[in-house]
Amino acid sequence: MFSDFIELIGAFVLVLAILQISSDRLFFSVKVYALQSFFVALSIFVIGLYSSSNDLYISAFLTLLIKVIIIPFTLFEAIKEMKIKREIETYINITNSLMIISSIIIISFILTRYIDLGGEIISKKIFPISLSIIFVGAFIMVSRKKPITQLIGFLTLENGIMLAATSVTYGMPLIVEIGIFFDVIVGATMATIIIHHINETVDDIDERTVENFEE
Amino acid sequence: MDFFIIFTLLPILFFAKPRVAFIVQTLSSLSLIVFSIIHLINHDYLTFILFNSLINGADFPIRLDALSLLFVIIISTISAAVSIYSINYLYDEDYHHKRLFAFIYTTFIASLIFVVTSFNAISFLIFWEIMSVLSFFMVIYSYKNEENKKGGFIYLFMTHLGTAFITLAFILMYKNSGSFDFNDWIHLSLSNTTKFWVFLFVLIGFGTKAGMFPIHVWLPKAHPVAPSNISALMSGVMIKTAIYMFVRFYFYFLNDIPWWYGFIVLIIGSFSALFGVMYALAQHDLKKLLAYHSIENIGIIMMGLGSAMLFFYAKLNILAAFALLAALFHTYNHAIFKSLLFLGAGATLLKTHTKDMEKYGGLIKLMPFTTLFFLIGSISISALPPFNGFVSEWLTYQSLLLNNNINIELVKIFVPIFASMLALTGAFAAACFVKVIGVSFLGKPKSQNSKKASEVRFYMLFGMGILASLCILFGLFPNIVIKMVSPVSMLLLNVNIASFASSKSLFISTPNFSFGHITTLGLALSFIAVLAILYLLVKKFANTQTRITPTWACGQIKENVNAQYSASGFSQPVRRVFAFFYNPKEGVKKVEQKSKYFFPKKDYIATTTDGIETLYQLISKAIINISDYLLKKIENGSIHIYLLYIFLTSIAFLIYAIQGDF
Repeated sequence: MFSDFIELIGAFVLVLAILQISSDRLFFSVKVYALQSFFVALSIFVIGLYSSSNDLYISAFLTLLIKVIIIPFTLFEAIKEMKIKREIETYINITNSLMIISSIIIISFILTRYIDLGGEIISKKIFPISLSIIFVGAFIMVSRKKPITQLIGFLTLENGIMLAATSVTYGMPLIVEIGIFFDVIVGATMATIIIHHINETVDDIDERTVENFEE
Repeated sequence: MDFFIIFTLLPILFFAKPRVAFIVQTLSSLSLIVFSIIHLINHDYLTFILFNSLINGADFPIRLDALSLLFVIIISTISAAVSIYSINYLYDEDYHHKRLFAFIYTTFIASLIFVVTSFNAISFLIFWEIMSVLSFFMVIYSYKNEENKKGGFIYLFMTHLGTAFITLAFILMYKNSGSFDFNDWIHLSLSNTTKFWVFLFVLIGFGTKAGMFPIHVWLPKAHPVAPSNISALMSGVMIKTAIYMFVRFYFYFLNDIPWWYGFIVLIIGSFSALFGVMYALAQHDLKKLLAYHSIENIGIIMMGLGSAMLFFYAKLNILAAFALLAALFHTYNHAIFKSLLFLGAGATLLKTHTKDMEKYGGLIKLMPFTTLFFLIGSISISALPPFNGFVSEWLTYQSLLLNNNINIELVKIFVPIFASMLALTGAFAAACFVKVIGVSFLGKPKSQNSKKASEVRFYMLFGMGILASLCILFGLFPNIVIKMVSPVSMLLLNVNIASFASSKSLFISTPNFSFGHITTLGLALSFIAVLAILYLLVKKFANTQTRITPTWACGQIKENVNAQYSASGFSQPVRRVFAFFYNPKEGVKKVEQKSKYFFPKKDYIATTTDGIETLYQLISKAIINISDYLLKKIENGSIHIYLLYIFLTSIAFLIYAIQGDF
């Protein structure tokens, strides 16, 4: 029963990740991310109930605090401040992205069928889902032009890892998870600050401008 | 065994005092010669461990068998003479860091000796690399010159390419014998494919060091820029270590070689010989010319070696020993006269400060002894009797012609062609040294530098004198060398070649199929007799009144030294005839013009390009272009693309990780 429920939550996370691909508004993207993080937090909480482990409650609470409230809030502020005129720009248009991502999801489901997870498994079916989310996050990072959307891709990827870690086993040790949270929040803050500064200096927030600095 | 190690390593200890180091090197080289000859004659072959290493099966065993001892003698002969030469040379040429020079020099010689005596693949490779790297250091000793850096780089690249192939051959041998010890490799029976690969890797790997035809490019670049005494050692003995390993592998380690192995060596040898001498003819940089001659002589040695392999295949052991004698004799001879020539070139370079033959001229009056020794070396390398080069080339001819005894049509067809290629090589070599002697030592000085030249100091002359007298000695009494080579043929082919080739003292003769006998002493005596008769006749009948006047120069009133025959002028007909081969560029180039319209100063430029070098350049250019293109395509500076690589790689690894489970 628990495992079915966790699987359902995992499915929600995946659907939201796909929705993330199809979104063409920045604000909407951030909102989708916040909702996705909420579901991740929920799944951690449910696993905590199931295994009655106090660490997981703390982990769920931190997820809720950081990923659902602080990071989306920072991103909103950053977007407002940057006054982005054009919304999400992609190298691959949304329709094609969806086609590609669906095939990637199928591949990841096929691949994970042969992976022997071992150990105590709460839900074996959640593993292909979280792998798909990781790939979707990576795909967002590859295909989106703006750094801020790449940041969202990275955060999605991180959610996928979190989902896999907590639902396949009982999560990582608390200290590691806190470390990850810290990394994520620092990363997000740094990214927004840097993006902001690039915006101020070159007045066009686009990776392609950064390319020119490289050589 | 203690003697051997002490004599080999002792000179290194004295590096802080270069002069003492050179003297000690000379003395210990002489002791090594005596030591080796005694052991060679008594068939007393030592085996001992230099030191045990921590790795199992990778000790440092030394085995002094006949072949090793012969090469120790060759190395020590040259190093003794070159060390005497160096006593003055190092200070007169004034190389900086003299102690470093002495250290590298002595260690280099020690490494050469250990290369030819090591009896384990690992220790061999270690000494081989020490030898290569030290010679690289000597090539770039004057590292501030662009030419040195370029030559050194090419040398370093090529020598490591060679070592890679050598290592491959050793690994193949190890896989089939289960040991790195050379003792376990003797007459190892391999499958045909493995044998072919071993043959090929050995040929390429050691051929690179020897300066074999298509992989010789480093040799004319590295040898000329090294200090002259090092050039003498490199050209004289270092490239011979490759010949040593050819003999070791093809006669001692491999078993039942097919006929076409020898044929391939023969083909490559004949091409090297012809190619080397033709390019030598077109050079007017003296040391570069000598370097190209090294390629030629390696070719001649390989021709002897190839025909020996053919006989070895046909189980005609006596003839095989005869051909091997030709190859090894020529190895020794080439070591002697090539070192002599390089030392002579070093002496002229020291006094004239240029390697360009066009700027010499008239050195015979200023440096009479150097010229004499250089002349002896030139006659030897041109294979004229009664000097030593003649004997070994005669032996090579005979062994080539004797190849007719092998019952393979292809060999029978090609043997006359190879023999005629060798003949052509000899003719070109003679022409080449007529050019060198005529242009650089005769005539009148062509530049200020050569006008100021003077005779070099005593020890330099002494070093050259030793080698020159060896040229004459081995030319007149070739049986000395035949006696030295005989134990080698005993070891490898179980034939005492001395009893066939020098059965009559002072004669050398071809074994049982009596093609002929020859006695160089007799030739020399009859030559002297004819000269004496001529002299007496002239004295008796001719007008002996002498008058001293300037040479008649076709009515030219004002003397112009540039009107003399020049090196590029001498080789011009050959350049024209073989234009397809040399790809020459000739013409007049304006150097400077002081007044606006009149009397521009012009230089005549004649250059030839080495076709193989052009090929190498094309290959390297293609590789660089492809890499550039791929670099621009793959690493194009877009973060998205880099992310995509990570993404695709992780998917690929996932698929790879579970593919076994499908």
